[in-house]
Amino acid sequence: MPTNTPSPPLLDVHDLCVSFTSRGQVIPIVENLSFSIGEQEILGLVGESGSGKSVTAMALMGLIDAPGVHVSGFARFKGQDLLGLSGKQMRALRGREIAMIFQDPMTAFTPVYTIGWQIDEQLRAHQSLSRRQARTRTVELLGEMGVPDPANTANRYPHQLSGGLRQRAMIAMALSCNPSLLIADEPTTALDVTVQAQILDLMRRLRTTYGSSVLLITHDMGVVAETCDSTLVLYSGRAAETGTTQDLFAHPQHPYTAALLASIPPMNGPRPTRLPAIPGAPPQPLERPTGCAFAPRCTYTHASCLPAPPPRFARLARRIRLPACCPRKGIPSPSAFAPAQHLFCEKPHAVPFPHRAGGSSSLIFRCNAAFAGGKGCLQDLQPQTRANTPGGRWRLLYRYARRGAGSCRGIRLRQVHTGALPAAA
Amino acid sequence: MSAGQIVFDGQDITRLPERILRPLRQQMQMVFQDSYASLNPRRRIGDLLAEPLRVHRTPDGRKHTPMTIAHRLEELMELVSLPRAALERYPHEFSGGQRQRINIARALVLSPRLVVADEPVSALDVSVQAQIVNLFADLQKSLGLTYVFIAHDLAVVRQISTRVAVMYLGAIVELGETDTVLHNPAHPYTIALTQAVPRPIVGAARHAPLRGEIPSPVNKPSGCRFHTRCPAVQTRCQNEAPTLTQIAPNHRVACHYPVLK
Ligand SMILES: Nc1ncnc2c1ncn2[C@@H]1O[C@H](COP(=O)(O)OP(=O)(O)OP(=O)(O)O)[C@@H](O)[C@H]1O
Ligand code: SF4
Ligand SMILES: [Mg+2]
Repeated sequence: MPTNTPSPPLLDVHDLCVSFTSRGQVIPIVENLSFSIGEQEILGLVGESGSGKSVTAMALMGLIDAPGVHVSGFARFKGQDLLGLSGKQMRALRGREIAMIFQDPMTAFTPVYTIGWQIDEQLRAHQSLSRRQARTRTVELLGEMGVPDPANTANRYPHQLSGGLRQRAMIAMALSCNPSLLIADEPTTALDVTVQAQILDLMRRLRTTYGSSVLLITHDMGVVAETCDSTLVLYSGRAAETGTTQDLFAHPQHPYTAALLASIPPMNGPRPTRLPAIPGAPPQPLERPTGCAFAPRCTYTHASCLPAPPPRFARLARRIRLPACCPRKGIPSPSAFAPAQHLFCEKPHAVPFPHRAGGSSSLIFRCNAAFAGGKGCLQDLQPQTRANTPGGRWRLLYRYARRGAGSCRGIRLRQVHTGALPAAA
Repeated sequence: MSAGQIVFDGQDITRLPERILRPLRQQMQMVFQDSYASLNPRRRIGDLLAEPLRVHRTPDGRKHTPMTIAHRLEELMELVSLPRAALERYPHEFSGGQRQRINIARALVLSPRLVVADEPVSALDVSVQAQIVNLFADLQKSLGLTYVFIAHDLAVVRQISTRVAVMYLGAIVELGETDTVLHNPAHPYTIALTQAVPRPIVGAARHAPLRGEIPSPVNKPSGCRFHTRCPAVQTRCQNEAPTLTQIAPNHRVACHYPVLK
């Protein structure tokens, strides 16, 4: 397994944070993401829509140029920090050392030139080749990517090719300068499954024929299982779990990974009458709980999911498999977690949140069936108060506010956790 | 141009005049892939759902009163597990999964017998798909609905359907009970399809992927449409188009050389 090689990783990303500013508000998109990719390794980056997969890729490629964007952390690639490079240095690297392919190949090609011409140009931009030499290489590359009749196909325009062929042509263009890292953002999502299988086959062969490492972005756990050596599961902009694909699928440690895998309908065996679905939906970036982002949907929420150690301080070991859910030793794995205590309290004495000055985001809550009443009101839960109780114990209380009602009638408070008082930040 | 016939409940509805078709249409409703595009963003959910009730009459020819409408809307919210308060909100205030619930509620307003769902879960987050698949299954049971469930995810298809029709380039190539078609496929395309689906299992046996590209639908191959990619192709396939033929009870295949087990 390439994952076990002692050689330093090709790409080492540490504490990557990306945020956008919109109307004076900072929106954290990717938070404290750390991972590494070894030589000839395929790392799968999985997550749901909006979890920040593309933003991560774009940040690494130096392609985020929206106003108000803030990128921090570092990404060591062959001795330099990708995040600290100037636009010019980055352009020299892009295409040559790091190449990217997208879900929609049309974005990579200009419609007015033949694909052959475009690949020729890419080759000539980085290597001193004559037109004829470049074309020979282009035809060779297209052939290696499984394009039938490559010499003729090179003379076609992007719109004249099928989706699968365009995808192959784009991979050929990305590989034209033999990059050591290929970032593939959902390269097969738009394709028919039979064509997807061909492209994934191609990806697996890349590392042996080209010695490339691949960062494969996808939302399909099946694609990851079949293609990647290691996997990084992203949930709402934060790493949930990382490890070798083998371990992660065999023994998912993070409740999100486990629940996600469980909710996929099986292809064999008896058909379950109902799928074990995860309630609710992933939070929007601004509504992310400060503790574990999955807490509102998690069945195992317990005291240590609390925001006391903000994710930034939760050590994310790089090549060791570590779910972000259990940052400290001695915490039982999910199946052993005791379900959180629930308690409704109609008349709490309200104290403002002391340990998050100006914090507006919600903390942690768990919606039990009785409280939600099966009415999907998770979004309506807002953190309100923290009540101090005798003996240094504390409680987190949430108010159920009816939206649109103006006033907050129907206030219901419940105790979600009891635990030692977290140190005020 | 279209040809052929569509029979609904024993009646050929292909060339029916609008007057007779309209009441029949109430019994057939659709749910689409894009949960947002199919809801008018400027109208409250309650209005959106009430509209068909204001236009159509009850089965016994009476008008719906505001009372009966309000009652029906609450019933619908209950059916799709949304809070009653959702009726007062606008489409953008909901997540994709919740919007798909609203679309399902809207399809159910007039108590249809048939619901055509076109890729209703493929645009949803992975973690939300299972909720909606469960909802479809629950409603089917409690309301006795018939679905035409269009999807490309075979695992979802297996979970939801009783019978499956596999299409290639606009034609049905295999049709039968779900378990037969997915576990004992007879058409080489169905076989390739079931093998190509990436499963979330590490180290699962991998099959050599199908060769070739999908031909363009405007320039379909002669004979069997699949012959350009078929691993079992013979000369006859290039010239003669196979027809959908019964190979076992409840199992039909369009192939000259079906794989029989
Ligand atoms: N330029 C931008 N300004 C503000 N927010 C942005 C910008 N680009 C992306 N976002 C936000 O960042 C979040 C992550 O987006 P991203 O495109 O990385 O998701 P993704 O994981 O690639 O999802 P998908 O599977 O849908 O491609 C989203 O909430 C998105 O709205
Ligand atoms: S157990 Fe706690 S930290 Fe782990 S996923 Fe659930 S809520 Fe998050
Ligand atoms: Mg993306």
